[in-house]
Amino acid sequence: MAARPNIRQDDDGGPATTEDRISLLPEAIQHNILCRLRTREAGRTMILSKAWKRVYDTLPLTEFDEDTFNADHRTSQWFIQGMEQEGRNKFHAFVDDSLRQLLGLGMTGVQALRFSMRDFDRSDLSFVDHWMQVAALLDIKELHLDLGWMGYDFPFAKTVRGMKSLEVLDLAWCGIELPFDDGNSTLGCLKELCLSNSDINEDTLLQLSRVCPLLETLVLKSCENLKRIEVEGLTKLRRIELEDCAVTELETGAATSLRISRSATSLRYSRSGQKPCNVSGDSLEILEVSNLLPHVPLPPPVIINAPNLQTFKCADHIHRILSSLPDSLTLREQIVKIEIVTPHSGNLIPISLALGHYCKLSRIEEVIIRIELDEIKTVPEYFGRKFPFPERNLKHLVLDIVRSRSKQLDPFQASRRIEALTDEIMTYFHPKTVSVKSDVLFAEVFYEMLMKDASLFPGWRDDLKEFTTEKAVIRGSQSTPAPSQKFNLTWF
Amino acid sequence: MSITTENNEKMITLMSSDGEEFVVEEAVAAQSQTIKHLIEDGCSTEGSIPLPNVTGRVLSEVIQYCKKHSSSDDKEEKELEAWDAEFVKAADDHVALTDLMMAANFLDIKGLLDLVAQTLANMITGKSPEEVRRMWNIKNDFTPEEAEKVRKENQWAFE
Repeated sequence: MAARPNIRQDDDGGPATTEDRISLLPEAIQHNILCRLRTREAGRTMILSKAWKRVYDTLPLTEFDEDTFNADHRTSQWFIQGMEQEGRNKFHAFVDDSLRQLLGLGMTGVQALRFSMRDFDRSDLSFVDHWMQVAALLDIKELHLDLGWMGYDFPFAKTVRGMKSLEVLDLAWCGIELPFDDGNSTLGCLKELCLSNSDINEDTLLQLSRVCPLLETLVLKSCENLKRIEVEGLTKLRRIELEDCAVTELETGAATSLRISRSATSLRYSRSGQKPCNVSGDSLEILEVSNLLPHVPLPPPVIINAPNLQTFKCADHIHRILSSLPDSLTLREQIVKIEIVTPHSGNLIPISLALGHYCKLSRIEEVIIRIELDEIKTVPEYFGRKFPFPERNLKHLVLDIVRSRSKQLDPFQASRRIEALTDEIMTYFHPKTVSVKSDVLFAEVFYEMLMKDASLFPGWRDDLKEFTTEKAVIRGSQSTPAPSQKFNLTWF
Repeated sequence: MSITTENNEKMITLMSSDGEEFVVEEAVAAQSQTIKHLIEDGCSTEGSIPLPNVTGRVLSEVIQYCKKHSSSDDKEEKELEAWDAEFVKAADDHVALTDLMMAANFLDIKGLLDLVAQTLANMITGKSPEEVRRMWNIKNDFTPEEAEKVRKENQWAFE
């Protein structure tokens, strides 16, 4: 990179940083910034000041939800008659206006358009068609279209005609009509394709994959007709996600990571049964299995044939997930890296036990644990219990402990929890090196634990040779990123 | 910066608002639609092109950007993205970014405008109103009652 002057040097004298320059920008530029945000995020700027409220009030929207125009969507009337025509007309006019405003401004900032029309019916058809043409003119990069359960009538090919710059396409309940009649260029830039509740089958997926050669991420949710997936032609493919699907044969092709998850407590699982999912792929390195909600049936067993698989990731209770995996020895031997995320309540001791049971830490080099501190419960009955010690020390442990934004623990409570948690994890893994991606509080607590009196110091301390903090954030609302710091530890 | 060039590229001179002169290849400067139109209209033949809205400091930044983006023809997309990230990181306060944004707007350089607008948008993401105010020195001129009213009327945004 060429040497360049530091832009912060202010040669017209005097620091200008106390000025409110953003509020003085022309409105079109402010809109250009805000229309890159999700509507909720952009909406929050209206509380900043009166000037910002005015900016927001004139901002053309990019997210359209028919539901907000549905006056009586909670009454039983709606279930029988559907949305009132009046609300529907208002919605049509609103979207028309917003899109016209976006076009009129010659906006370059519109990245994404989102349409949610849960109550889509035939009278919407011509409107959606028109909006999609406008979307094509805006050169958007992302399109999200949810047409509710009547959307099968809306053919997919029509939706994206002319959207040459589209990189992300997310369609829910849209019908798939193939082949495309206007050449291959339409989805030529597409990097991410997400189909939910689609009637797509093996053949349509194959044809679809032929027109988007640059696809990197393929997400399929509740696609019940899909039993077999082959993605041979997609050489750029990196990631496949299956959510609530009943795929039994999956060839992952060039993809390096696969995620299989369930999020709905749907009855259909009992229908589709628990047929195992046969996965094979030479490039596959990461397997992720997760349940997004508690009390959801486990994903079907996964039978893996992937010689290069190294990392196993899971969210939710690991013991539940591990038990859904085949007890095949080959997989155990292959895994060198484990990543655990607990999106909702869980406690760590069962996680450690399950891990130990399943993997015996045989070849595992690195464990990454990501926890929401406020969600973790330390269970008294496990205190004082003897843990099976691992056969050898873990090489590297990454702790990523986040505090949720909504619930704020007081610092004392938080440090108690951190201490209990850390002790638990460290006792189990006896790592040689630890890196912490967390806030300053964690680093402080950890430091105190290390510096404890010799008679009190924890058993795992002697094994620890290196401690790295990757990010330090000051407590409270002020935050300053700090460079990563490495401490070498020597014990006498 | 030299006046001659190996491949006989036509050079033009840009003059900033504070009188600083920059000699650049025409292809580099023409990434700005504004300058491109000025060249087409024959403004470059009689000495330098004056840019009354852009200071020398900002203009040198803009030229850096244009140089990088004219030499690498999309071929190393990843590398270019990394360079862009570095470029806006160097301008890590919002004053420098707003200057760049205004210049990109005036000079009509779509890529740069997109880059800076996206950077500013990313700065707001995930921050509380108080944090945004502090970051951008925005003075809260709502009375507590007015603020409460805004919140109440737009509850969907603040949930």
